[in-house]
Amino acid sequence: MRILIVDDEKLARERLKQLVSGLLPHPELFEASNGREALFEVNATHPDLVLMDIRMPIMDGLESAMHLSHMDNPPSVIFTTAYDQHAVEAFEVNAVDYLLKPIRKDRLELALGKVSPVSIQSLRNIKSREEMASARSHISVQLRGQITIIPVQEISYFMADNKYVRVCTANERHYIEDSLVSLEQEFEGKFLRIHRNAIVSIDHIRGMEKQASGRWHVKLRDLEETLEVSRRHTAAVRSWIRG
Amino acid sequence: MRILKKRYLLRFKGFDILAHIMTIATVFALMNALTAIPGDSFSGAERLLRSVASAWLIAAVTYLPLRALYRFIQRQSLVSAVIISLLVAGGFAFLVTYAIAVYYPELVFVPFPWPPENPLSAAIRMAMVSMLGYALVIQIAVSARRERMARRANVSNRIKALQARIRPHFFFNTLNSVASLIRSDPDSAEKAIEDLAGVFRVVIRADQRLVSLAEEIEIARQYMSIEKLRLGERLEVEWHMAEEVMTATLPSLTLQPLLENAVYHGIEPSMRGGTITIDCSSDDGRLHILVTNPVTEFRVQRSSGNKVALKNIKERLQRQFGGDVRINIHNTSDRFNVSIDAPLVHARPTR
Repeated sequence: MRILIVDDEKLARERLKQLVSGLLPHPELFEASNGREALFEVNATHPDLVLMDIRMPIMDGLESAMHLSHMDNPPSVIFTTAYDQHAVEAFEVNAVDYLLKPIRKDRLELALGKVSPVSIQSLRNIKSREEMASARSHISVQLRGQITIIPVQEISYFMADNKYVRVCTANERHYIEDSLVSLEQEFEGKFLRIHRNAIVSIDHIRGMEKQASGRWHVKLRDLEETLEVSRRHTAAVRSWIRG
Repeated sequence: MRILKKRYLLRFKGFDILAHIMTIATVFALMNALTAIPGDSFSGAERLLRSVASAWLIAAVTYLPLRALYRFIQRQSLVSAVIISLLVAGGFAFLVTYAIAVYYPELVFVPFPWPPENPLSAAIRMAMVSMLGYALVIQIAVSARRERMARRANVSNRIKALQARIRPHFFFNTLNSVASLIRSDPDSAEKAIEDLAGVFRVVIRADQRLVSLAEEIEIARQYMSIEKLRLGERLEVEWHMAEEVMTATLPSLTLQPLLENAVYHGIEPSMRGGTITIDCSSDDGRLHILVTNPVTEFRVQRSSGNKVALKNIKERLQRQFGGDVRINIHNTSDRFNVSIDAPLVHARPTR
């Protein structure tokens, strides 16, 4: 069995390695120290199972599992946590496997015996619970079996483009399947609607200028191109820029 | 229990004084308005005016001895405090009225035939009116005191509840680390258990105890050494301690929650980690504590336990030192700083 152990605390990873080695004859063990590293490791090593801590720097375990669940043939995930009352309740409700730290050998043995992939729906349910609700810290893009991870703070804007949404950073463009409306809701307060087809990162706005055509455009940090602001949104964007 | 008993004070201050005077004055005024006394040559308005004036005079002079005896009365139990207050108030009203009736019969008007045929009976009546007024005041003071005590009990319960709020995460994660260390590094496991016991002994005590800064630092060091075990190289700690502040006193568990916040918000959300600094110094009779932590590069949303902990610390410091406590938070571009500025009080050397 190939198992990826994800935890930001080295001793916690050691503990799981000790336990798993005692339970399985020849486990192949891999390690990652946060949710984002876990995604890279999964890409590189294709584990059967991920033992995933919830609270980690950079990207937490729930978000990492969300990105994983979009992959083809996602690995099974068992969450580990010291004390996340709300997450634990949500796991119970959605029949998602979890282990409480300090991790008990017998519990781990039981969990290893019945691993199954976590459904996207149950992860969504868990994420959407009030206490856990938070915007993603990263956007993941699947391309030819490879996963690309884009930190949200590097994104300049999202723009609707046919059936997809284009994600733009200073030097990359990707296409994702989310809807602009749901992105606008998720990143409320971080992104601002400027047009029916675009929301831009508030942190990336440098200013506004009036084009010869009489239309207002926003200028964005690290980007040559400017984005048109629709008439309907001009007043709101201007008042936001004036602060 | 000693602390509770001290609260059996009756306060004759502020509104209580006003209530006292107004009560007696009202009693007098009403009596005058209702009593037509044969042979009394005053008009209704004048009678009312004089009665209020005399009421205020009596009220003022009976207040003075009570104020003088204030500290003494405070030290009595509730029942004796009430009896003493009534006797003093009645006695003074009696003496003053008697004196006025005998020596300055034309000075003020009181609601009985005046000048009185019998100064003694007038004085007794005045004393009874004064005591009646005082009884009302005492009743007000007692119910205010009850309310105050209920509020205090509330506050102290809340303090206990808040103080015990070391994050459960910390506890279970530590046990997990220890479970991991038992085989690989039994010595570290042993030390971690000792440190954990030290921290929890103080946390579960959860009372408003005063300790020296040296004791606070000891607990804080134990706490940080556990966190260091978990977080490894991500956590660096710098201590800057002035020798003269080690005997300073402050409420138990002032420092540890600040460090817990610094770790939770400044180190845990970051892969790189960073350095937490703790500075304790003094100048000009003030104790300064400054805790700083790095601001993390990825702003992972963390529930805001921070404000609650700081408010709790401030509340407890203020209960100890009065309003003379400042807690300042300021952010620089890369560091989060919390400073406490409180009176420097040294522990009395134990004999």
